[in-house]
Amino acid sequence: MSRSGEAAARRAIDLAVILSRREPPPGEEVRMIVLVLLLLANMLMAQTASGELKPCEPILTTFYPGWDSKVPAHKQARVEIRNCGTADKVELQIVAWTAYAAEPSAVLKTGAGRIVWNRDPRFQGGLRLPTVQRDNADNRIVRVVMAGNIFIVETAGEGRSLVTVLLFERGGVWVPSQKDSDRHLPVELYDNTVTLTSWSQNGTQWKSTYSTGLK
Amino acid sequence: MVLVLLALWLAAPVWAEEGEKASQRRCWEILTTLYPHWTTGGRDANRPRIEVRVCYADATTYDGFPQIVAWSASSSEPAVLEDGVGIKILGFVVTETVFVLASESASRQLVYVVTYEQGGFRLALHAGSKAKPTVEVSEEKVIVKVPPEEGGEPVTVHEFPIHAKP
Repeated sequence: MSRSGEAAARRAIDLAVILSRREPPPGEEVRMIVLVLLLLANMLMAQTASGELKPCEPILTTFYPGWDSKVPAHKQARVEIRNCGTADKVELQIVAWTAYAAEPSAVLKTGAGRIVWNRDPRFQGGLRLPTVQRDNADNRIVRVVMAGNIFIVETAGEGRSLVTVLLFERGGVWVPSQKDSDRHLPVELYDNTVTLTSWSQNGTQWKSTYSTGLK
Repeated sequence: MVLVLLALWLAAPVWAEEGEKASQRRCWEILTTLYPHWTTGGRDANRPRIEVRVCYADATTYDGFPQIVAWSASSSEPAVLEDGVGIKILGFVVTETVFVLASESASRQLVYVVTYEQGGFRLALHAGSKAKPTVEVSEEKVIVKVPPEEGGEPVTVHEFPIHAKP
């Protein structure tokens, strides 16, 4: 677990101890449960974003956002799709590198232990909650969209898809979105933007628009 | 003996020319490999696939240009679908059977669409304009809208159905 994950876990444990010593007034149990759940979510989010996983071998393919013919490929910003399993039982992993980096900026699992975050429309302020954790790694690449700084990959397994968005920005790699879906999510590349459409479980449509950084 | 030397002398330029053509036709560095219906099995030398490769005009400097080659099932040599795909790769759209590559030349935005049908690849679209194309990916198809050569309207709409495996 990462340092930030450990810190979050410690915060959750400390708070749980404090809460357990209190005599809760009537009706406060629900609030306490929600609070503890949110802290656990925070802990898991920190763990997911830690990037402490090691890249697997072999590399199945590589994409170069902003490929430059004058720079050697191994020094360019890139996204690799790797296999952590065997040739017969593929377990996909996504590894992202910034230009000239000696270590990857993001290593993302697609399988066991993976947390999927969905934005819950009932909460204001963009709160996201973990919704699905699959038992097995994804073994299929269904869609890839790369445009400038934006990289979207849809992997699949167990009948559902995982759509991961990577953003190369300010010298780093960010994961603004990772969505679980039972359908292929429409994507539109228009001018210098990429728009990803998704639906919540109650059918609400969401459009996420990202700038490609291209001129 | 004289005849043999004469034959060798006549043949030498042909060999040199063929060697030069071969090196021009298939570049050595593979940037990106894409498989139709990309399921388990990982990198398999016998599976149909397309590769974006890069050729270097000068071996001492990194000054290359991309190329698209395609391998059909069990082929021993790839077919070059397009040579000199601009000077900069701007983007990819990859589905089960439709592959879009957007690139840039010195003065134009380029778009290439490769489709996979009945075990083979086909360069289904190669277009260019001063304005960027629009690409839409839905559940069933990829739509590419290409502006006129100088940009603006009207755009030419190309639709490519995605043949997903059930």
